[in-house]
Amino acid sequence: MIQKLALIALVAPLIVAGCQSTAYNGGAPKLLAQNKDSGWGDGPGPRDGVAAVAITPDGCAAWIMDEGVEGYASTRSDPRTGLPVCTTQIPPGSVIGNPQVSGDFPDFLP
Amino acid sequence: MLIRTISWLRTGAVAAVLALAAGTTLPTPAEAQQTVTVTGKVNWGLWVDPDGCMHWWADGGLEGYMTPRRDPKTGQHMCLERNTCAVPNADVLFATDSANLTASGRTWLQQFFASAGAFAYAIYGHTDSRAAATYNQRLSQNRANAVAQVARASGAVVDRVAGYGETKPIAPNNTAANMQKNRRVEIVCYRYPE
Repeated sequence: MIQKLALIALVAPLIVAGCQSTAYNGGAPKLLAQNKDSGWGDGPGPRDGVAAVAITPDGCAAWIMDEGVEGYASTRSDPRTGLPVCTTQIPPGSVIGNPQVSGDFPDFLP
Repeated sequence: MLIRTISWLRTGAVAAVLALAAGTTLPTPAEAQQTVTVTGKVNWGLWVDPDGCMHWWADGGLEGYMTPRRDPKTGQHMCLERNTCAVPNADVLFATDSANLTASGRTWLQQFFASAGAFAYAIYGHTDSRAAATYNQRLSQNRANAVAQVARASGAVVDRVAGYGETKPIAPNNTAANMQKNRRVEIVCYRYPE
């Protein structure tokens, strides 16, 4: 844990320095986010068909993926009807599958 | 960058004339409506989930964004055509105009649920467009319930059962063959990642 924190502390300023500021300065709209990786520790973005499932407090399924330095989550829908996929069989808060899509950046929870 | 600048010039003048005629001070449309300022840009990418449903995503450097791709008109989550687990024809499963399973229909369903191997299932009944919509609605619901009963008796978990009547045809109801296609039960398999 300590090692991971130290790594983050060392590396984070480099990453931030390498990125554009995302503050709005009144000029032309700035690119805030893009559909490709944006720096060290980043994977190529979410891969089609690869995600874990997390159950929300309502008992419905969400796709989650940990992709380098950022994570993504979105709704799981029934592909025929578009209705949410919900379950009483799996407790809320559970994660099914491996959300780690690209594993080259260490994760920590404070 | 301001949106709606052009339309103010046009409607603002008209509103000013109307306000004078009425002898009151109405706010001009420009003042009455919210203005929107574009403060940034996102280049969205498309991600397709394991069910074939689409999502927009973007990488913001140290954060990520993702949201379901929805049909702006219907609000439906937009999904690619993926093999639904099974779409047995209602003519095979049921007698005409009935929610009673035929013997062969029941056997087929039992074999299906014994071998499909999903974690849970959704079952949706559909009819063709003959007979009244309310009748079809009820028939499709009863047929979906009958299939769900076999599923549960086989030990399967059924997360959702719905009847859509004639509202979701997969073919125009203009020929006997097309109407037969529309008389169906859709079984969606909910699989979870390994």
